[in-house]
Amino acid sequence: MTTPIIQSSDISKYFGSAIVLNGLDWQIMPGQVIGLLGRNGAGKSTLLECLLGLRELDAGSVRIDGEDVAQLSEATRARIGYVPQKSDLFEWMTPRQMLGYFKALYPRWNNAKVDGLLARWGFDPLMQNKPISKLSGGEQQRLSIIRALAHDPELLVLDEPVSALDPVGRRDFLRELIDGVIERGTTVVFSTHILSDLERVALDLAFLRDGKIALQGRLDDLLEGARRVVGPAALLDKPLAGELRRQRAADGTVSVVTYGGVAPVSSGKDAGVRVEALSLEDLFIEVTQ
Amino acid sequence: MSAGMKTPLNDYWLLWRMALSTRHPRASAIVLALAAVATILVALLVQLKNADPLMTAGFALRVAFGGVMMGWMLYFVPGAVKLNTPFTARLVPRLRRRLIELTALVWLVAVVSGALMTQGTRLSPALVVLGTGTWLAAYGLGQSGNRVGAWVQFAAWMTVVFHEHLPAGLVDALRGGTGFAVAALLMLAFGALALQWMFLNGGERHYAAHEAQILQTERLTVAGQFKERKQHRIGASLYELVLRRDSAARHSGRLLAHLLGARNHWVYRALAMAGVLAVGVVAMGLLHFFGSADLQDMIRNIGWAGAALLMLGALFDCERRNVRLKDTATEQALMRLVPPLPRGAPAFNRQLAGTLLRVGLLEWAMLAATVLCLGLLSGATPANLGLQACLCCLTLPVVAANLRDHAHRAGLLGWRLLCGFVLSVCISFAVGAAAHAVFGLPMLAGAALASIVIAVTLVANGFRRAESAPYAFPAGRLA
Repeated sequence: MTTPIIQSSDISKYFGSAIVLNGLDWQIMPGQVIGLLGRNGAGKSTLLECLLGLRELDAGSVRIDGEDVAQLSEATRARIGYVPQKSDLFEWMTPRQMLGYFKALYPRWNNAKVDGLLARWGFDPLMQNKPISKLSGGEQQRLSIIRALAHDPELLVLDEPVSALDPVGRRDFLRELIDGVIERGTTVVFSTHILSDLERVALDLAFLRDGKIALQGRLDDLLEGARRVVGPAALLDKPLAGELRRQRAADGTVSVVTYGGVAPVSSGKDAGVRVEALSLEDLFIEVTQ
Repeated sequence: MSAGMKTPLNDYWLLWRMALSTRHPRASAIVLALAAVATILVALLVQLKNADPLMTAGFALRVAFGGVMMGWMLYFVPGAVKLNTPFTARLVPRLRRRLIELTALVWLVAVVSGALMTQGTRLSPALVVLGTGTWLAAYGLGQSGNRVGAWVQFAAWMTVVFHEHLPAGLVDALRGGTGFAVAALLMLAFGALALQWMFLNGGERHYAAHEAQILQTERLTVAGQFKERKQHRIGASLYELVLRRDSAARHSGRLLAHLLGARNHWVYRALAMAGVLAVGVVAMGLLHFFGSADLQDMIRNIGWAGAALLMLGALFDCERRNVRLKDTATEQALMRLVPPLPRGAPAFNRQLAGTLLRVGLLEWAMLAATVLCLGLLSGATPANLGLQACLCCLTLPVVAANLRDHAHRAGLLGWRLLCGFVLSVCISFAVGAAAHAVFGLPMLAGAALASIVIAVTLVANGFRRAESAPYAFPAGRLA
């Protein structure tokens, strides 16, 4: 049986009185490509930081490759790539200097990949020697991604990696992610709000709500299994199998979102109950609201 | 009051508060309250001493005016420059015009008041008008990021210091008549240029100047912390060499020190010290050729003590490092994950403490060396140089202030650093006095030795604290 690359058990994190993570259990298996979704402020960045040991947990534990995240060995750290949400990093250095700096700190460094990405992503020699503070937000984000990919990580954690990229930049990034990272069997965990990108890349999705993983599954299964059942309150008064969320409209109709349950199709159209498939955007709204 | 008059006054009051609030939300109230308190206090004291209401009113007026002027200079001018962005200058109705009017109005009031305040003194009103007007215009120009402003201010100060060496004919000509008229016109032209530069009217020129303006007006964050300044060409080239050398050596401790940023690297400190020494050499040269015999004697006898004051810079260096550690929290998240840094919080924090201590000691040593060189330049005797070295040692405990629980506490130490330093100096002098009484050791030497012992103790404590603290990086996350 394969052991998870990331194993988090019952983790909790508070900021003052606010509960950000609330007894969260999450496993990520090697080679898994998982998109983490949640509303603004849901705690996605905090969760990713906790998974990497960058924040102390108030309860629970996280292990990467079986090691406690607070005591990661040199070898394990060398296999992790991380793109933080904030991209204006080491802004007093030039891109060339920053990459040289990190090259000195990692035992493995793929020069060919770095040079290729720099060339493909528009970092001409002039730009490579400009202070990072002078680069645009998108350029800084691309550089941050190059830095994270340069040592061929086996676990790549990306915190909203495309938020500052234009459509061309996003396409380039996704192409690189699919061809250069995912196909190598790298485990990828990334948070984003751009659902169309997720649909292109992520095989698995996890929704974070109320400090817990509210729903997780393969993208296709989620889209296949999620349904919205709408009908009169009298017919939908009992909880449905796999019910995720229930809403009552002003006109008295009830809308129930289910996942994996058997939709009450047998009730038929005559009874005024209709069953709708959900898009990823619908699912995001229904699960995270 | 007519509506026509009311609108500009409302605008001025609004702009005053807006400009001041760029530094602190309640800066306007604080400035006005402080000016009021100082005015009342001075008025009371003067009235109690002289019982002359006219004199009291005169003093009170001067203090009130001085307080408001300080607010204008330190808060309004930088705030006003900040308000006038390339976007607001073009698109917000009246804003730029009102800012220019208000700045010019206060400038005019300051110049006229300066001239009035010369009544009953030996100062020439004409020279005060020219000096005040030019200096204030240069100050505004400097606050908008234009270096010409800083140079003119420096020249103005030098003129005051070396006024005895100015050609007497020129000074007399400026006291009145055509000479004054020409100088006043030049001053007005300079003032108009300064206003134009301070409040550019959008467009490419404004965008080009905006970066320099931001660097100048946003040196401090809202929390009062220093921001990283722009690199200059020589420093950037030297820093690149050192970074390349450290990267090639793959020395994790040295690479960790780069996290403090280029401007806080010892390369920049060495350059800054070289600059200070160069200024010292030039100043001593000027003094040698133009200074009076009395002034030269004074510099020879107490110049070393003045130079020793530079050691207070160690406090600022220490604070800068603390602030940088707070500002680079995201970079630190990446550094936590790089392989060669030690595993586990105690070992990691020990290495960080060692790096910070090395950086602190190196910068302290450079500062002390500069101070001693300035002492030598001033012609201090070997005995006075010894005293100067002892004074330098009094600041040594400051280097331990970077060894703290960075996870829980990050950023400025502020008054805690200042109080700690004062306490350390007091203890050192007490020990020095005791050593002098018991062993006959010179008091300053005893104080210096005590400071060294305090520094060693604080460093040892700092290391112990670091080892028992959570992972230092990212700094401030548990604050």
